[in-house]
Amino acid sequence: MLFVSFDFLLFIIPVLLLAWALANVAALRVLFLIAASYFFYMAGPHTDPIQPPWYFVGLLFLSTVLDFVCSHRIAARRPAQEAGDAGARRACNAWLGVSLVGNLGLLGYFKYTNFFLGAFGDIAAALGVEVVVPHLRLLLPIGISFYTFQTLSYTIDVWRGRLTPEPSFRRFALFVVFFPQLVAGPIVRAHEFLPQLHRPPQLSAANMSQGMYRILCGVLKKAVLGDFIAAQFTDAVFAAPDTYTSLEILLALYAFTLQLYADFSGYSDIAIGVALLLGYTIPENFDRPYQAQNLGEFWRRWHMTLSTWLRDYVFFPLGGSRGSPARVYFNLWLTMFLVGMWHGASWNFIIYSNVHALAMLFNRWNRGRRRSEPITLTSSAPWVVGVLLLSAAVFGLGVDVLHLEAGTAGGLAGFAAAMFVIVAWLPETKAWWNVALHVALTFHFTVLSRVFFRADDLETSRAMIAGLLRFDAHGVRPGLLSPLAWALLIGGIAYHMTPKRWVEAHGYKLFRALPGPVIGLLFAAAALAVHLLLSGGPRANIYFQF
Amino acid sequence: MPAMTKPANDQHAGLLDGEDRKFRVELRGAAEPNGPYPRGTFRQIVTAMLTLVMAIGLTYLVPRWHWARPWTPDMDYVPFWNLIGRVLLGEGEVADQVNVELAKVQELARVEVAADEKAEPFVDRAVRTPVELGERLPEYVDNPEDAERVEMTLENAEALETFYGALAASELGYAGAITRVMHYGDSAIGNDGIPGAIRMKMQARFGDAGHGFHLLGQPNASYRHQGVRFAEKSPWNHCFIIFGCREKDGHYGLGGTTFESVGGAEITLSTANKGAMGRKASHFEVWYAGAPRGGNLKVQLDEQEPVVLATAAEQLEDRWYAVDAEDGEHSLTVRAAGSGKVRAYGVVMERSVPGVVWDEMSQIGALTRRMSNFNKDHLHSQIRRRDPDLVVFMFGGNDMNTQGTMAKYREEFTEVIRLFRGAQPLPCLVMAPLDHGERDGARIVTRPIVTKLVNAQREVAKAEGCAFFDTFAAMGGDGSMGRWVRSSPALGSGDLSHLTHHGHKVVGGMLYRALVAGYVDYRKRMVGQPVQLPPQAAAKVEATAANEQAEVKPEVAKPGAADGSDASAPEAVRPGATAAAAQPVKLPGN
Repeated sequence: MLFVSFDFLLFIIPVLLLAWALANVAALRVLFLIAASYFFYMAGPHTDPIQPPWYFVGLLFLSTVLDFVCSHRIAARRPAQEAGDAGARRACNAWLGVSLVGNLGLLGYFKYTNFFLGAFGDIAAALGVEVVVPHLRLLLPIGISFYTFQTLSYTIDVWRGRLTPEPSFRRFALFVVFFPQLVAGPIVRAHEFLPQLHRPPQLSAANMSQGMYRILCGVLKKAVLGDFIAAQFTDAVFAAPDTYTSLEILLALYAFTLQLYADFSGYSDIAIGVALLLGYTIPENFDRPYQAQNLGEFWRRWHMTLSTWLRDYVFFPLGGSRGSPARVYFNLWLTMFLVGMWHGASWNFIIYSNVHALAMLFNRWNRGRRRSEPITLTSSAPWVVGVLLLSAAVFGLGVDVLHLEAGTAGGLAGFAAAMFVIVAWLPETKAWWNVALHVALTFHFTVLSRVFFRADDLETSRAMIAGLLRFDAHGVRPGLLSPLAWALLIGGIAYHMTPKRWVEAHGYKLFRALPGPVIGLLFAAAALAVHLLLSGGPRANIYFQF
Repeated sequence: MPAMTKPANDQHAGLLDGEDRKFRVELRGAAEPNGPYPRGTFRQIVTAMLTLVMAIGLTYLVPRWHWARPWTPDMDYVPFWNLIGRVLLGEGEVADQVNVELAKVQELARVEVAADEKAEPFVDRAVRTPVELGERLPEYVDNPEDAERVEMTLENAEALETFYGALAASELGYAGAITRVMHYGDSAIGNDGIPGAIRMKMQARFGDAGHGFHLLGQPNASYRHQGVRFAEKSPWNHCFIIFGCREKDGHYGLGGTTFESVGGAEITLSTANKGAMGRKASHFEVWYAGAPRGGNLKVQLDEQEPVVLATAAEQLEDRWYAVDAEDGEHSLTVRAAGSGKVRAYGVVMERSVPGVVWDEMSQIGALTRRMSNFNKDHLHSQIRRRDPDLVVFMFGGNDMNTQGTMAKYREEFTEVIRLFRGAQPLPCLVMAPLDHGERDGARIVTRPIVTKLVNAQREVAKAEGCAFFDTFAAMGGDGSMGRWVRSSPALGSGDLSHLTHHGHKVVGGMLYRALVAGYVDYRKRMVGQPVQLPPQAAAKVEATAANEQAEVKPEVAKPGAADGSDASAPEAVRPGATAAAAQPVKLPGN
């Protein structure tokens, strides 16, 4: 079910009323919320593309049972393991393996099979071997990337001894299927959510106000900045980049950057708001990411529940920042590569993941290096080598992967080298111009790399980049963007750059003081805006496809 | 090693700075009831909910507010569709059928994309020369492509007999057998998408006779041809036919755009250096105008000495300048060299080997009737010079947004077809417009005008003796744009009116297979019939026959030969060139 839809309005009002009514009847409330969550999952609207049929809910149930059983098997052997019993340790590891294979196997099958088959074909063709690889007609179960990580975190925490297993199957089932965050996050950890199910829901007037405020903000973000801009502009440009000018393609990238943030953070806002109305707290997912001053900070502010998940369950177990520099950089690359690849299975995401991972390595090196050393012939030699290597790598990427003309690829390599030198040269002071420059550079890095995030395939990415680097002089054709779309685009980016407290503190303070009927009218106005702006109906959240 | 981490309390710390935080959580106990909630806990939200529900209810109670109703009975909307509509109301089968259709299209797209990725530069076919008098079409030899499924056959394919005759001569490799096609249309053919896809396939099978016609600039962002490199050092001013900016004389040039400069404008067209198409050229023609107070036009092939053409004339007239070279990689630079205003139209790049040339003549944003802005005599002169074997029309996308009736549209379209075919008996093919969708709830449906327009074009094509290709039906008919947009890779554009790069390939492939199906049928029917010889070969054969009768007649002048500017005219000179020779192609200026 989509949050910004008439369906959801029909669903949420009775669910809230009943959940409140059952607030003091713990078992019934949990059962009711499980039922509502399963209904939410199965009863999606008629969208493009058509959602998987209702019985895909079986996978969700399977994942629930699998991790409930595995966690209890692990916990049962844990005392013996702690006492040094090797057999118990092996059993614990085996049950963890069952959970990992079961969960990641399903995820891999539905999400990555066709990509790996295609990649096998591509690599074979590159080696001169003709193979015919099948293309399976697989439907990606909605939310599988989210609930898989959620249940895995629970089993891994039990295996690590950081969490005792949940004794109640129904509470565990609610943790897995809790509808506000079921299909597109935030990814909730067991240690954050399960303890809340052992307490009564936190229903208070403040939580109600806060919940409504988050929902209203989310609806406006998702529908107005997310869907409307997509319908007006970005979808068309990414569908046929050849037909747009360099400036129009650049504008589309800015628009998509805003759209993606608005779409996903709007969705997260609604999820957090709905959870609050039910008396539960789920974690934040965004923290004004485009205000980040470097890429490491960006990933700490963007889709926080995913990036911190991979940090906690991949980066730290690999050794984190401990060990040799080579090991640390490897840990970092692998973690960021997985962050990228979680989003999708395609050559585009291979490039996107590596571009971000390598930029993170640079960011790490640049922030850690000693800046006070005097520049000498010896000390500058690695710089020269580094810049040349980067230029060569970007040139190779441009010619071989992006199919650019050699001159254009050379220009791209020169640009990358110049950026490398500029970012490395910039001081780490808090001067306003330096902060602004860091924010602008980080923002534009994310904008440009979004080509690979949004494009349907590598060919579209190539066309987008070729169009960008054409630097044609056709400008933006009149009428391509309506005045409203222009206003939303500029206003949306400007809004994002405002201090967070303006919205979260001051905005909320004003909202909280409003009488209920006025808030109701605000919601009615928002619903009307959605109705009028999105005459074609809301779109599925971008992250549904992940 | 340098410090690898930042302090954890740094608000700008990176994601992977800091250390693992250890914790231990015990999940014990059951939730104890809170007891009654304090007064006012739900006051704000419940009153807000009531207000929202009443506001929605009011839209149903007040008829004037019907536009604000979130749901009306005429809407194709079922709440909780995946359960109620799909399962309980049995709409699942229809949805699944849509998915099956979608899968078919996706498979088609994958095949086209894979074929495109594997495409290698074309191999030239052997040239069959000399041509004997009384050559007859041999038995048709099956081609592996013939087994491919034809999604949509041509209607009235017999209208293309002479086109197929030319195509047969090209395939059989007769010297000078170049089959030329001019493909006019609106943005549906922009970016050389559909024409480029057909050109690719046609040239792979029937021979690569060159890129064809290219404008002297890019009148819009969607004018970008495949298989040619275009560089603009300094742009020309342009006048695009849809704006009626040459209302006085109607001389827009073959491509519908006139370019002007008083000096300094300069473009270069080069053969392609990647991909299969456009790797070679041996014959270039600059299409320009002689005009009162006309300036100089400088033309330079590769590193050769530039030629300066004086364009001054007593009156506005069409001119061409042809230059030949060895078959291979070349660049041609065209520059307005001052001394007055120069008016020019475009450049033709061809080869003198048998094959196909498919000209992309997109008129972005054009209503069909805008083609009537051409001056009749000028257009006919341009077409005679180009001497096509087929003209294709693919308009209608923009006409869907006008308020005119279908009767009026039929009149306009008829007028345009007659205008183009007035130059010479010219086979023509009408390609119906693409499906154009609109959103209806969460679905994408076909705009009602699409089928009306398709039918109107079908009627006009039939009445005018043109073949007809129902692009809309080939895409899958009703609702197809929705399926094409949802396809992976996407075939339809987000504006629900155009196609993506992949979509162009699919439609191009469909038309190609339809044309070839007609061609195979023609070949099988015409076994043993006289070959439709290419004009140059025909002229030679006639001359031989005449010699045999000792009745010597003067040779027809080659284009440019009349003025000495084109002593090395290509072998593939055609009757149109004869007409061109009558045109006052002027001596190069100094």
